[in-house]
Order: sequence, then C-alpha cells, then structure tokens
Amino acid sequence: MSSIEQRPRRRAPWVFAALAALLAFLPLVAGPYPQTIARSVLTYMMLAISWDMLIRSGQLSFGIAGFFGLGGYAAAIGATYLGVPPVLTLVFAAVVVGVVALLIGAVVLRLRGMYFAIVTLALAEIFRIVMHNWSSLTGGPNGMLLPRSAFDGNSVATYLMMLVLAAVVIGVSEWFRHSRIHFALTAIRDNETVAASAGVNIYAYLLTAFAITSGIQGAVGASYAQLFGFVTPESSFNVNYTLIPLAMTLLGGMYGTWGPVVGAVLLGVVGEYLKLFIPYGHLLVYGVIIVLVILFMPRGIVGLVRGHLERSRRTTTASEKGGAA
Amino acid sequence: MLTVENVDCGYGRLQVLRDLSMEVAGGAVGLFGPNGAGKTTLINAIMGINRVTAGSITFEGRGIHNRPTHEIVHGGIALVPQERELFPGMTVLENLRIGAEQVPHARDRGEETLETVFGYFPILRERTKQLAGTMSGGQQRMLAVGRALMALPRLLILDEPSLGLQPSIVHELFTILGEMKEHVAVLVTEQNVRESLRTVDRGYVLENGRIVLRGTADELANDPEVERSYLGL
Repeated sequence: MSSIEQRPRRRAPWVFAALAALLAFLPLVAGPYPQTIARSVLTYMMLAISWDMLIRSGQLSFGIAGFFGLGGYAAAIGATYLGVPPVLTLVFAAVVVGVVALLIGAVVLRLRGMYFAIVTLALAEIFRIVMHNWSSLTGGPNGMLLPRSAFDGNSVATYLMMLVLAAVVIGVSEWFRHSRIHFALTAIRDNETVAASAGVNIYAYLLTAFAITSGIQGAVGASYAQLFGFVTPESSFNVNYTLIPLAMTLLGGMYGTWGPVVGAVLLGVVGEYLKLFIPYGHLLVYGVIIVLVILFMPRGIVGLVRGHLERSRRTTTASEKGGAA
Repeated sequence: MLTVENVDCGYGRLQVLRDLSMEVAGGAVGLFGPNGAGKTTLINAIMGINRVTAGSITFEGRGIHNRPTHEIVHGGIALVPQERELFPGMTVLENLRIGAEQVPHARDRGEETLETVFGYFPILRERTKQLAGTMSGGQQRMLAVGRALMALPRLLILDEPSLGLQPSIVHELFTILGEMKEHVAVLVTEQNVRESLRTVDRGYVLENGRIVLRGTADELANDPEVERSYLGL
C-alpha cells in the first residue's frame, strides 16, 4: 500500500540516472562559463518542477516570478537586517515565502481555473510594486546589495550549492508523486466532486501544495540573489521567471518530475546557444517552441517517449500471450 | 441511522427540495422518481456537495448537513456518483487502493477490505492490472462500487447505478447489492424501479422535490400509481 503506482522493474531509470549524474558532473570540469549556464539551467529547472507540482492539481499559476522575487528579497533582507548567513538565506526565504503563500492561499485557493491564474499573475505584480516602493526597507527601485554572497561567489561551490538544492527539489517532487498527495492532487484535477467523495480534503491538499511549491520558488529566488549578489524590482520579479519555466515544462511534459528536468536542460542549453547568434531572439524561439509543442506534442517529450515505451511493451506482452488481446 | 428532516435545498434561486423528510434505518432503501425530481440533489445534500438552506440531516445521531464532503466520507458514508467515477488511467487495483487511502479508519485495513470487495466482484480480482478505462461499462460500475466500499462505509449511497448498463448486468448488480445490504446500509436512487424493488426493503417516490409516496418494497410494487407510472403495466 506504500505507493500508488507499481510498475515492473525497468532498466530505463538507471540509464537515466547515470546520464543525469554525468550531466551534473560535466560543468565541474568544463570551467566557469559552462558552470554559469548550468546554474541558470538549474534555476529554471527548479522553478519548472515547482510549477508542475501545482499544475498536477489542475491549478494554473502565473505567480512563479512573484514568489521567486519575494524569495530573493527575503534573502537580502534576512542577510542585511537579521544577519542570516548566506547559505541559510535559502532556508529562510523558503520559510518566509511558504508562510506568505499559506496566508494568501487560504483566500485565493477558493478560486479555480482562469480566476486563480489571473490572481497569481496579479500577486506577482503586487509583490514587485511593494518592493519597488518600500524604499526604507528594500532600497526602492535601486534594489539592495547582499552584504556577502554565498561562498564569496566561488563558481564551483555555488554550482554545487545549486545542484544540492535541485536534488532536494527533485526529491520533494518525487515524494509528491509517490505519496498519498499524488492521488489527492490527481483526483482534484480530474473531478473535484469525485475527489471529495473519495474522502479527499481538497482545500487542505491545495493549500499544502501551494505553500510548498511557493516555498521552493522562494528558495530558488534566494539562491539567485546569492549568485548575483543583489536584488532589484525589475530583475527579481522579471516575467521571464514565469514564462521560461512554463515553456520548459510544456516542452518536457507536464505532471511528472522528469518532464520539467528534460525541458529545462534542452531549452536552457539551446537558449544559451541561440543567444550567441540572436541576442534576445532566444525568447522568440521559446515562443515558437511553446506553440509547436502544444499543437503537435501536447504530452511533451517525456510523454512521447513514455507512450512509445508503453506501446512497445504492450506489443511484447501481447505477442507473449500468443497475440490474444 | 440516516435521518433527513424538513430539508430545503436548491441551486441559487431555484429551490429543488421542499420540506423533505426521509430516513434510512438499515438494509436497502430505494429513492425513485423521474428525471428532475430531485434525487441527485438529495444525494448531493446528504454528501455535503449541495448546501441545505433549512432542516437537518443526521447520521448516527450527529448533524452532517453542510459539512465538507470529505468529513462526511470519513464519518462513514460513501458515494458512487452517477458518472465519471473512476480514474481511467489507473489500474483496477490502484483505483481500489485509493478508495481506502484518504479515509483514516479504512487505510490500515485496506488489504482486508480488498478481499471483501473481491468476494462481491470476483471479476475485479482477475483484472487487477487492467487499466480502469479499458473495461466495459458494467465492470467499471462494479469497480466504482468496489472503490466506495474500500472506504469502509456504514452507509453506501449509489446514484443511478443502472445508468447506461445492459439489463443482464443491471440484474447482476442488484443481486450483489442484495448480498451487500446484509453488511452495509444501502441507499440507491433509480429509474429502473422494477429491478431495484427486488433488492430494496423500503422505498420513497420523489416528484418535484417532494416525497409523494413511501412504503415497503411490497407496498410500492402493488401500488397502482407506481405500477402505472414506473412499472409500465
């Protein structure tokens, strides 16, 4: 009764894990520029995963940049005024943003669908405006400098910090996939009446998911602040932190951990490559990719591969049974 | 066990149920009536899905009207809704297990209850690994009943279980419900009055949100009005 899904053992996960380990190791030996790209890929990857964790319940959030930016400011304020050590600002920001999301979620999670999506979009803008105007605390439009950045900005060390944070986020996402939460969220997405009839406390589950995913976005925002050493209203709440993770998840495939991971690596690296040829044009390419994926590959890359694997397995089992359906 | 007293219920300004009273004391109780009579509205009121604007609903002595649905399920009432009641992309076994997963008192006794469910529906044991969405309509309905039982209810509510099923399957389903009512109280809404009268002990006839007739299964079967309107004799 431990997990909902019990699939037969396959070799694919191990191949996948080995490949992931190799990819994670590569930037360590490849030098500072690949490490910069890898840190950016990991940043977007974590945001993409956290967004996916909430969409599994059917709740579409456009508020990633809001909680991301809030996390950055929580880190800067915590470090400046409370003396929180650099690496611990990640935890500090996760808790602060998680609590803020809990309070806001208690109200806005009564909304569904388009209404919820619009409110999250508005929230991000509200956070930005507050930070922009609360000059005495946040430095206003100029933003604020962190007194000290994590590992004094050492490239290898900060890459490892991002890697550890990403591992934690992947772990939380997989825990979501393989615990009671998974069924509850899937049921809510599918049909709320049936979910409630099966005993699911819809409000409690949505609130938990919203607080945890926002907390993750807050921690990622704090790590961004540590990497760059400053926060400003324009950069920290940039709408790209909402749109790019969304595009990555759509490309990789929704409703699972590995879709966002694959999407982030592909789009992150491709985007970086494109920047060399058409500065800012990479955003245009992202847009085109989103449209193409939605039209021709609605389940994303992971969904496509999984579909192929399942089909080939089914034909094998069918032929083993002597062709009986 | 379940008592509905003087309940008003509706949607916005549309009042569907008016001063409705009924009860389930045990065994199997039928709720009959044409489309739009208010059967599903009453079920949804009991389950906390629809808001009750007047009156009270008590289950085992505790008031449950306007409580959240999951609390009512945790409290011992399970519902087999009218349609879309399964998770089609999950296997039969997964569908059954999740029925117990969200209900604290049923969670630890899942394996035990699974055997009980397989006892009622042997076909489900043979198909544990099949995806729910690929089964026939009748098998899906049985799986839905099985999943509701996994929550270990003391009262099982079925909303039109015969809907869209061929007559032989309906017959089988009501025979199984007949066995089931010895262990769990059953409340079933139906348009197929003939089949359900074999199984239920008592019944209510609902029209325009009011109970117009109540009695034992025999009394209803012999009532000239029921015969004319529902049995088509």
